[in-house]
Amino acid sequence: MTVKGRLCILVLLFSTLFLSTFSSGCWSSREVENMAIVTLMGFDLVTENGVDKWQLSQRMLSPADRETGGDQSTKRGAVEKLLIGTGMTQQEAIIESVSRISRWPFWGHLSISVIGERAARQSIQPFADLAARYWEVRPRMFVTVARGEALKVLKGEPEVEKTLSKEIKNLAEEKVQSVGTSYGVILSDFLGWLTSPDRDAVATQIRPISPQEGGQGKSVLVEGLAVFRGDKLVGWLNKEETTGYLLITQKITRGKTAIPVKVGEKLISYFVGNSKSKIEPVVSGDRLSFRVSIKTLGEVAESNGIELPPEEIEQVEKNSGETIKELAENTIAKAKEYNSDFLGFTEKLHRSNLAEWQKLGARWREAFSEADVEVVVDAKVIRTGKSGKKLEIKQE
Amino acid sequence: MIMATVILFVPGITAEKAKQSAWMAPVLASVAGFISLWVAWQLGQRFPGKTLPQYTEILLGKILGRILALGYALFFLTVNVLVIREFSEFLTVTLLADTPGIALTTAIVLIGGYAAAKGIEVIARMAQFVLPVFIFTLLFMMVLAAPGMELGKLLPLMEGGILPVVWGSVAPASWYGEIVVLVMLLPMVNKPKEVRRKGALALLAAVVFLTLDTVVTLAVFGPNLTADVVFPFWFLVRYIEFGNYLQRVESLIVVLWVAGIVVKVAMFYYLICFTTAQVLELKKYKPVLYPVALVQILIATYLAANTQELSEILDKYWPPVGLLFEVVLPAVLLAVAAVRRKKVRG
Repeated sequence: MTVKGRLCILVLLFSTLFLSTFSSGCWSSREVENMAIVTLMGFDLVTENGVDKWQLSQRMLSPADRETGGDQSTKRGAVEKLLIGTGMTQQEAIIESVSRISRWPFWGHLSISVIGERAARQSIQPFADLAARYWEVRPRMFVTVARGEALKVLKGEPEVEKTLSKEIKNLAEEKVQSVGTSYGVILSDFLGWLTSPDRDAVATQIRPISPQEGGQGKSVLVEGLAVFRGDKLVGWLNKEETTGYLLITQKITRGKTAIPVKVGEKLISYFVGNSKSKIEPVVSGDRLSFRVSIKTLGEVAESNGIELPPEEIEQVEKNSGETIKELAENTIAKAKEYNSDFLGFTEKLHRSNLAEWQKLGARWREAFSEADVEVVVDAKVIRTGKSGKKLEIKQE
Repeated sequence: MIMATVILFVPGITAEKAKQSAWMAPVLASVAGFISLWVAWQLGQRFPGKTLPQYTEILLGKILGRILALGYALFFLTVNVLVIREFSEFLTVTLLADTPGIALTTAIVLIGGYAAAKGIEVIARMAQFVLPVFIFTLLFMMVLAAPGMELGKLLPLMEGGILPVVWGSVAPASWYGEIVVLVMLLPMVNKPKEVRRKGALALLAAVVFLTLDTVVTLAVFGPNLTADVVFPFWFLVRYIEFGNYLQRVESLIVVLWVAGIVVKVAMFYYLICFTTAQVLELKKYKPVLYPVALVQILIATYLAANTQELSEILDKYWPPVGLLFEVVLPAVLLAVAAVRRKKVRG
């Protein structure tokens, strides 16, 4: 090797070493140690000295606890730190909330946003805009609306997970939907509904509760939905109405929704596993109506001593169908009451019958409220659990 | 090559005008690409072994010919400046919020300049390597996003007639037209006979991908949200999440997208210098590299004050200019050649 070649290699080697030692990255470099990872965020409107202000609360992973690792069971609930800030704008409130913190917040792991009832009733625009604009926010973040103040939700404590955010995320992702009590609405769907000309939005409802089993601390319940008309929160759906919403709008697979059904004098439970639905707009002359067909497959896992021969199962299916129909009709009645088409009926009309949709123009919500909705349910029982026709227990 | 930049913007730009029928726009827009390919090919047939500055001189005389050729050099420069700016804009908006745009533009111009200095073969080999990986990743992303699709969101077809689709396709048309670079590259291709077929295939592939990209994005987010987001495909990739084991795959896209952009910038950089050198009758194109680098960095940095201005340039002002150089001028040249029966035997 020539001298020149060696020199060249030497220079390269040194420059590599030099660069890797002294250049700590560029402008945007961020080390994990300098980030405060935000997992939960609450948006509230509060009145302070007669002025309406934003109050933003954030839960962030507490670094001290992360570093100690190991025995975290003793510190359950203390892993996420709660920070609160107020300001005239949301950004100002965020900055204020982290004013005591030496680190800069990182929102890339923000998995749930909680909007306070008052803020949502005024307008969802400020929140939606911030969430759509800020680059670190991810499209799959869950959008929830708190009954009351969002801060109270953020003060809650996890039941089984280490952190509150994990608890809510796991609930919203799968569990609440399968049992039919709520539905985890993600940001991209939520924004899609808000921006569409033919459908209103819903968001997951969340509220702080004190567990009835007692014990210290507050817990959080994800149940029901928040209903919007345009950009404003107008009402709530309870868990039965939410089950109706899910049956009408979602394709349920792996469901665990238990629906109490009356057969004769006794109540049994129909367990919905799969369901499919179809919404068809029907236009006859000037009248607009909708037809909803729901098909469910389920099982009976609690027969309460009723004998279940094939003939009887037919009866169970018929009664289950009627109960489901009632659930769906209740939800539809609620939608009409709120004058909010969150079930996507008009959306279906827009897609399938353009001329009719254009005729409706700005009064599509009224048209939906006035339209008749016919619900047809086809409920099937495919399994009856592991005991036979009836568990014979002698009567006294 | 065309796809590199467009893939990020197209669903947004087209959806704004054509709403749920936006996916038809890329198909319609490709007409411009095919026209410009055909014209470039015809010109190449008439003047084998000659590039555009050489035959404009034969066709239009020395002065007019050179002015036109210089115009093309400026056109390539503008394309490149826009690409560079988009690159830095995208990165600063989505990932490197604290980094000044000029640092990113300088970096990409230096890399592109290095490749351009090494000549066209290096650039072509680079493209050969990057393209398959790029396409594979795109396909992979679309497949991953597919479970979130709801095809009903594409309905109703053509609300408001065909016009919104036509308007929506103007901007993408100017991107497809970039295949006009063949007027410069044709003489350098090893097997010029195959260019027509291969060029058409490349365009077709671009159409398929852009259409797929738009369909998937629309079906996941719906037309209204897609129109509101600046980088819909980026939003789509971030949307992909399967439990805890597959999420945050967007970094993969960034790496490949940057690789694609580097190829494109290098290629246009080379074209600028090569065309200028030919117009000025320089023996080598390398001396042109340095001033062009400076010009590119400066224009790219000061062209638009913010993202909105850039979008407006790309959306409103660029398409007519682009189409003028991509479709109209080559077609005029071809017409002149046909009328004056100019031909060079190869």
